[in-house]
This record gives sequence, C-alpha cells and structure tokens, in this order.
Amino acid sequence: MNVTVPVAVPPPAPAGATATMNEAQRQASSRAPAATCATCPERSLRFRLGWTFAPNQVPAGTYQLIPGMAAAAPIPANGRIVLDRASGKQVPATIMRGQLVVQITNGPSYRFDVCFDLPAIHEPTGLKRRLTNLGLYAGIDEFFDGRALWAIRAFKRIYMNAYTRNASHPEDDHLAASNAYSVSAAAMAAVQTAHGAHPGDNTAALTPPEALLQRNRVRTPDAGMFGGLVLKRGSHEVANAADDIDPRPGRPGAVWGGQVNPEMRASRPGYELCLGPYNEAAGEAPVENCVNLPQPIHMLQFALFEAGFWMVAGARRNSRTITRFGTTAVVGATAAANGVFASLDGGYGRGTHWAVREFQCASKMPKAAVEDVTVTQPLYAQRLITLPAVETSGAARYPEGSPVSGSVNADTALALQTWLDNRYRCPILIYASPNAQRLTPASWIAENLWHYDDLASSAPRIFALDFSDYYDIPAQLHAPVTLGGQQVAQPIVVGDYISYGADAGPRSVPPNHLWNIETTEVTPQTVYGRGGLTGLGLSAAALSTFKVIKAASIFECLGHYDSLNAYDRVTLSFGLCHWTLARISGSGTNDGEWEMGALFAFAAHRDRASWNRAFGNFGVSATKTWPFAHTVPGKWASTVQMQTEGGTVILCGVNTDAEENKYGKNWQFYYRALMANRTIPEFQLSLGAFAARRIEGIHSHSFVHNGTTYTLGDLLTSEKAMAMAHRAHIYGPNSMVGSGSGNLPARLRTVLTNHPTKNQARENAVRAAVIAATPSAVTGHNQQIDGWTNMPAAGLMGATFITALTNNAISGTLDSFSFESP
Amino acid sequence: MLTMGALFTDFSHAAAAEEASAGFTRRACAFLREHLAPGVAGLDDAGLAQLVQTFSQEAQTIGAAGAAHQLRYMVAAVIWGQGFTSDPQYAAALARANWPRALPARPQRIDSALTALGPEIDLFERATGSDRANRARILAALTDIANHDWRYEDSALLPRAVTHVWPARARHLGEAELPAITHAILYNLPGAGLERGEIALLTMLAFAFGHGLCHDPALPWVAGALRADSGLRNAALLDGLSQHYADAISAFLSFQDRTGS
Repeated sequence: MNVTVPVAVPPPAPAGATATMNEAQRQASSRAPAATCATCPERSLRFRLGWTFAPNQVPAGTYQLIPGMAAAAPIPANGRIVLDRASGKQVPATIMRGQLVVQITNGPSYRFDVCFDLPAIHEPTGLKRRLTNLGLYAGIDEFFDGRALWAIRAFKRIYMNAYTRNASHPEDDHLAASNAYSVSAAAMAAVQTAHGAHPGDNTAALTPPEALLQRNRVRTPDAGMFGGLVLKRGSHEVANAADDIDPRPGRPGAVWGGQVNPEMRASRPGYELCLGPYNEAAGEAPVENCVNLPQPIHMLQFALFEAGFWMVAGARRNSRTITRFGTTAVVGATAAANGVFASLDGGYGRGTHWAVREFQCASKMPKAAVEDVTVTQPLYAQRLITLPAVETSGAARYPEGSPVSGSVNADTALALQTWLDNRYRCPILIYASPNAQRLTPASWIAENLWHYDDLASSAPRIFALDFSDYYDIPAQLHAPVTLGGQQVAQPIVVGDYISYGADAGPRSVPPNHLWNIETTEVTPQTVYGRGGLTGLGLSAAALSTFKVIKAASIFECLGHYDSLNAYDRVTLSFGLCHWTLARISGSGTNDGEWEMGALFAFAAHRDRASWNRAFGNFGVSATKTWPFAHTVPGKWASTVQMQTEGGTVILCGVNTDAEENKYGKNWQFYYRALMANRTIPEFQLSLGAFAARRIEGIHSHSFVHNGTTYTLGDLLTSEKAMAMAHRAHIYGPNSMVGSGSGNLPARLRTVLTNHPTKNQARENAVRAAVIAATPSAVTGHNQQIDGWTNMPAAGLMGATFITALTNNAISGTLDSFSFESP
Repeated sequence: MLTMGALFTDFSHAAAAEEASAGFTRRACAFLREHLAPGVAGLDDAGLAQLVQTFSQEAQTIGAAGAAHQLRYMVAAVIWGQGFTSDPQYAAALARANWPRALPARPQRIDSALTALGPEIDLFERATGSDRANRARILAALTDIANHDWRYEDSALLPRAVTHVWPARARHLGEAELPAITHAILYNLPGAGLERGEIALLTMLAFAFGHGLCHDPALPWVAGALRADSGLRNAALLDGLSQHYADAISAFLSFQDRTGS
C-alpha cells in the first residue's frame, strides 16, 4: 500500500519576517545610500564643526555643502551650522549623497563625502557613524569589528578619560570573558553629547547582537586615518624644508606631505560622513550632527602611542609607565609612577619620525604582541602578556621591500590602521627592574623604554620581552616562565644604563648582562665558522690570527659579541673592534665617517642575507659601497645613512644635527644590535672577517728605512707583537701606521738600526716599540698582552671564557704569527 | 569609476544613479535568494531582478527612500504579496503597525511602520501556518474548488470555500469579518474574461498569495495561467501552484542544509 506523506509548504521567509527584515536593515544600512532618492523631499540639516583632537574649538573659515549651497559661507563663531528653510539652504530634494568642503582661514581645506543617512544612536550603524563623524574612523556599517571597537576605545580616551587610559571609564566594556560586550550607557550618552541628539536616540547600554560582534573581522580598506599624503619630517631630508604639521586651534596652517595648506580628501569609501537630515515641512524634530576636522598627525601620534611606540611621547625620565598622552599636559619629567607625558602636538618632529621608523621596523617582524584591552591593570606590560603573540600578515605586515623611512607612506598607514584594528602592539617591550623582580611587573622600575635616557638610573637591570620571533633565541634562554601570573617566554637580559662623563646610555657588560654561552663568545667557531671552542680543525695560520683577534676583543667587546656600549661619545659601538657608529655632540656640515659604517658596507658586501637580517631590514646602511679605499691603512670608515621615501639621508640628517645620531642609542635600536650580535652566526663571521682586514692592513703597511721598503709584517712576526699592534690600532690607528716620530714606523726604524739582523732580540725590541707607540690610554692593555703566556680564561669586568684552545699559548717568539683571514 | 567631483553634472548624476541602482538590485537579489529562498524559488535571475525593481519602485512611492527601507518593504511584499498595503485581509495588522495612510510618508514614519510590521507578519503567519501543513490537502481542496460548478448565486459560498481551503486563516480573520474580506478580494480581482470557477479559484489563491497575485512579479505562473485558453486556466493555475510548492520545498530544504536549521 502506498502511503502519501504530507509535505508542508514552507513559509516564504524561513527565519520569519522580523528577523529577515532586521537582517535587511543591517545589510542595507551597512552601506552608504545611493546617490539619489526619487521621493526624498528637501531636508534641513544641522551640524557643528570642531577638530578631532580639539572637539570644542571652532575652526575659522568657510564651509559649503554641495549640492545645496551655491557658494561657501563663513563658519559661525559658535561652529553651529543650520541649513533650513529659514536660511534658504537645504539638502536638495532627491539627493542622498553630497560633499562638504571646509576651508580653514590661512590653512588647508577638507573635502568630505557626505551621506544623508544617520540612524538613531542605538542602532549599530548609528553609533558607528557618529564616531566616524567625530573623526574616529569607525566605519559606517553595522559590524562591531576591530576598527569600531578601537574607535569606541579612542572616543573614551579622548572624551571621557582625558587621555588617561581607563581613568574613569573602562575603555573596553568587555571586562570578563563571561561578559557579553556592551557599550555602556555612560559612553552612549557621551557620544550623544559629543555628536548631538537625534530625536529617536536611546542611550541605554548597547549590547550588539552576537553576529555583529566580530573583533577579528578582517578589514583591509584604508580608512584614511592619516590623511592620504605621505606625512614626513621634511627637515630631516631636505635643507630648509618644513616638517609636516597639523592645523589646530590658534595655529591654522598645515603642512602635509610637504605641501603647504593642501586640500585633504577627508573621506574614504565606507568611512563617509553620515549626517542626519530632517524634514522640516513634515514637522520632524531637528537632528543634531557634529563634524570634526581630521588632524592626521595628531591621529598618527595617538595611534603610535596606542600601538606601544612610546618613542612618540618624547623622552621621559624615571617613570614606571605613561598613562596619559594628550594634547594638554606637562611635557617632560616626573619621578612619580603613572606619570603624565605629552607631546601629542601634531608636529612631525623627531619623536614622531623615530616612532614611525620603529613601527616600520617592528611591522616587518614575523609576530606582533597583542594587547588585551579588557585588562584594567595599570601597567602596559600587564595587558601585553595575557594574549599570545600572533603572526602578522597581509596589510599588518609592512612589506619587505618598503622603506624604513620614518614617513607615513600608504603601506605604513594601512599597516598601522590594521595594527590598531587587531590590537597589535610592538613585539619588543624593554623594561627596567631589579633582577630579582624581573618576573614581577608590579615591582618594575620602568616599562616600555625607548629613549636611551628614559630611565636615567644605573640601579635596575634592563630586560626585554621579545614576542617578535625575529631572532633565533636558544631554547634555554627563551623557555616559558611565569611573569605577572602569565606564562611567557623568559625575559631577555639587555644590560643597564650608565653615565660616562658628560654622556650616558645603555651598555651590556659581563657577567650579568651577557648570555655567556658558546655562540656569543669570541671563539674559533664564531670567528671562523669552524674549530668549535678548541680550535681543532683550524690551520696554524687561522689559529694564530684568531688569537690576535681574540686578544684585542678581550679589551673591546670583553671577549663576547653581546657586550655593547652606547654610553659614550660615539653613539654605539660593538663587535670585535667595537666599531663606532657616529658622534653625539658638536655640529657642522660634515658628520664624519666612522668605522661602523665601513663594517656595514663590508658585511652587506660579504653576506647580504645576514646583513639584512641584522641591520639592512631596518633601514640603515653605509653610504659607501664595499670595497673602497682605507682612511688610514687598516681602517675604513663611512657615514651611515637612513632610508627615506625617495632614497637615503645620512643618520644625522641634512642639518647634521648630532642629536639625530642618538637614534642609534635608543633602546630598541640597541636591542636589535645586541640580538644581531648574539643570534646571527653569519653576521658574526662578517665581524671576524672585517677584524682580519685591519690586521691585514697593519701587516702590509710599508715604510722605508735606509732605502729599503719594509712592511710592518716584516718586523711584527710574533703573535704578541701583532696582537698589541692590532689592539693599539683600534684605539688610535695612526699610532701604528702614522708617520710621526712617536708612531710605530719611526720606532721600528730605530729597531732596525739597532737590530739589523732578524732574530728574537729584534722581535723583543719590536714588541717594546709597539708598546711605546701605543696610545697611553691603552698601553696597559698591551702590557697585559705582552705578559700573557696563554690566552686568558678571564677578562675585564669579570668576563670569563669557555674557549679552551688545544694550543692555548700566545707567543712572543720570532715568526710565531701567521695570517689567515676568516 | 565615478568620482564625487564628477557626480553633479546632469550626465554624471544620471550615471551615478544608474550605477547605484544596479548595485542595489544586485545586493537585493542576493539578499532575497538567501533569506527568502522559498518565496522566490521559481524565479530566474531576470525575474528576480524584475521583482526587485518593481518592489523598489513601489517602496519609493510610499516614501521608502533608503535602501534599508526598500529592502524591508520587499520582505513584506514577498511574504504577503504585491499590494499588501491595500490587501483587505491584512488591514487590521497594518493598522496595528500604524501603517501610514497618507502616502508618500516621511522616512522617519516609514521606518517606524516597517519596524512594527515585522512582528505583525510573524503573528499572522504563526496563526495561519497550519494551513500549509499538507501540500496534498491544499491541492485537493483547490481542485474541489476548481471543479465546482459555480453559479452566480454561489458568491455567498465563497467564504465557506475559504474556510475549506484555509481553515486557520479563516479562523484568524474571524467569522464575522471573513465575508467582507472575501468579497473585497473578489471584487478587486481582474475578472474580465474569466469564468466563475476561475474567479473562485483565483480568490482562494489570493488568500495565500495576496490580492495582487495576478500581477505579482513573484508569481509569474499566475499571469501565465490566465493567458491560457478558457477551460484550461484552472488546470494551469493548479499546475503552476504545484510547481511553485515544489520549488519552494526544494529551496527550503537547501536553506536548511545551508543554515543547519
């Protein structure tokens, strides 16, 4: 028997009419309206003009709504603009989209795209569109994505917390994992107050539907937060050029992208102004609106600070953290924790320039830290350790080939916006703490150090939390530990801060600042890439040369690659000969050439990949290209240059201001140099090879005596003699290769006169001559070397060595030295 | 690519409007395919685009200016049928939703009326949904109607016929109101050239698909059946209805697969 199973006829809308109509509302409201509406009548419009970072200040100038106004009209003194029947200017019938042009007197102009569609504040689109109108780029659709959530937090920071994070209102309302996200009634009311009321507004707390709350929703379109022109510090690159600067109350002029008072295209698709008109003829109540004029450099500074690049806040002293970074506050020092710092001034100065460079460096690294914005603990670090770091990709990853220019090009603007949207933060956090409290943030002395003198105290030790995954850190030094109640990779020891005469800055010295492992010590393996700790497998010449290299390194880098110095007059020095970067004082048109520049040229020439990994990726390079002529025999020098959008400029900029060179003393630059020396074996090999160039240069330097040409190598035949000459040459090259009467060649002429025959007695006299020619500051070093029988197992400042050469003797015997370059 | 600077010449204004309209049609079609799949299952892409354009124009005539308003209007029109705003069976629900009588209404009024209308539609559909529980029963009942030898004086029987075909709907509309509603629908139908039996069947169908069914772009099979020769129209209507139900069921099953509901 056949049984017919009843089949129900389905309803046209399976989800029901209400749900479907709500979905229709959401989808349609997500987009800007069409350009025209066949039945829309003429409507009236009200809005108030202000500045994003000075919302209660009224810009002076003119405005024009197109279509609707045939000509521009002056902005009223109170900033309140009413286009209604009485004024004779309204939004024309059928028009749903238009443009608003604001011309600042003696300043730039802004051209906004405007949609006449503003739902009430309790609609997701209503809230977001208000935040966008206020200059916070929330977008105009309905999703509470990372962009919108950032905009809400930014609104609270500016309008409710006076630039002090969480001062009186939690900036994220999702305070516990079990809580649904909601925008508090206080925040809703504050937005309404800031933007103006809509007759349909309900300012009760807004809990977005779950489907709309998408923190991680990917948004790639550039919101135009930073204006669209390539913002830059012009004076660093071009003589007499102006730095970019925002207009602000009392200072109306702007320079953006080097252009004086240009027109800014102030809207991007998806981020248009959405203003609420009202139908006066139909008796509708007025809708209030607000339009804040963008201040892109202010926004850049705000964003950089938010992303952890506190370099933008200017130098600070002795504070645990920065809780306030605003437009009106004390700039400078306070010894109190929770200090107030401010340089959110809209000027593209050195702090902003350096901070953008640092962002470009960090956003090239594989991972970013992620801030847990729901954490309300006071320290920045405490918000940084609860969420795992994430791999950056897509727009968040600053492209490999894009310059670390310190200018806000399109890639930088998009990357920085994406970092904000995703709560990405600088992956390296440098902090100061007593060693014993290094895992207890509440006991730290200072956090997120950037400027070399952010903490002018030698008491604490400096550490880094490194979430970047950029460096290959040995597992035993990066194992998980409990820090602030969270499991994170153990902090990296960096060093400390020290004053040295008139100068000061970071350093890393033994034993406590160093890793003290075989891959960071000057060993046959790290200099030659073979030979391990014992030298087995090295030729006799290589072993002899290694001893000469190591001997000098014991006095320069203390026998360890990770002993760096950024506290004296040469900005930064590191490596086997502690090659120096640049001067940090004085002025003049010539910045001078320094040996680190030559090292950069040599390393880039010898092994491009390891060079890029160490420094090249971060936008610095030598001005010269290897090979080039020595400055004096055995010494090569070059200036160091930074990338710009169109090329390069030397480190100190066109104005040769030595203060600019201090970029190389700052903690993050220092950390990158430290980690390059620690973790990139191929870079270490380049250092070894470059040190050997000096020895080769000394060895082959010639002089004439009684008509016969000699090289220094003809006379300096022992390991000790060459080691001492090498050490003296690092400090004062002319002492070894100069032509003065006290310099080594002159002294060797005397030796030749007194010892015409090559024998041990002559070699002994040669060693004495080297010591005599050595600059007095390092004479003691050479006396030590001359007194050694074996390569020492310990060095200066408590340095110890695990190198254990099978043939450990360092010889003063005739012809004991032979040369082989790594 | 249009630029805003070019928008305000006459030519570019028209071009922008055309581009915006095309974009809206695409988005609306996608929306209807996803969220009202059973209601538009029998339409091909061109038919669906025609439906969007027709309903969009209707929405604009009542004052629904924005895309959100128009799309919400379309939801109601697909569920209740073209011309639902004047359909007698929905008059009470529309009144409760404070549907504006003076049209075009201002956007704020349209917005609030559409917001209130959704729950009214759901209320109505919940009350009458059991009528759709058995497709075979519906087709059998309508076949009875089509086969009845309708006479002029049989007009009084039409409300009883409605109760026979759509018992839940008849209950929901009320015994007292049903005759007036039935006759209002009957007299609104385009009766010229149709047999009494065909008019009776159309009246029954109008209770399910709205009194504008003869021109409803969601129901092209109705207009197609009415173009058939006299004597064949009822069979064509029933065939069309049967296919419409089959399409709707198929679309509904796909919707369930897609949404896991």
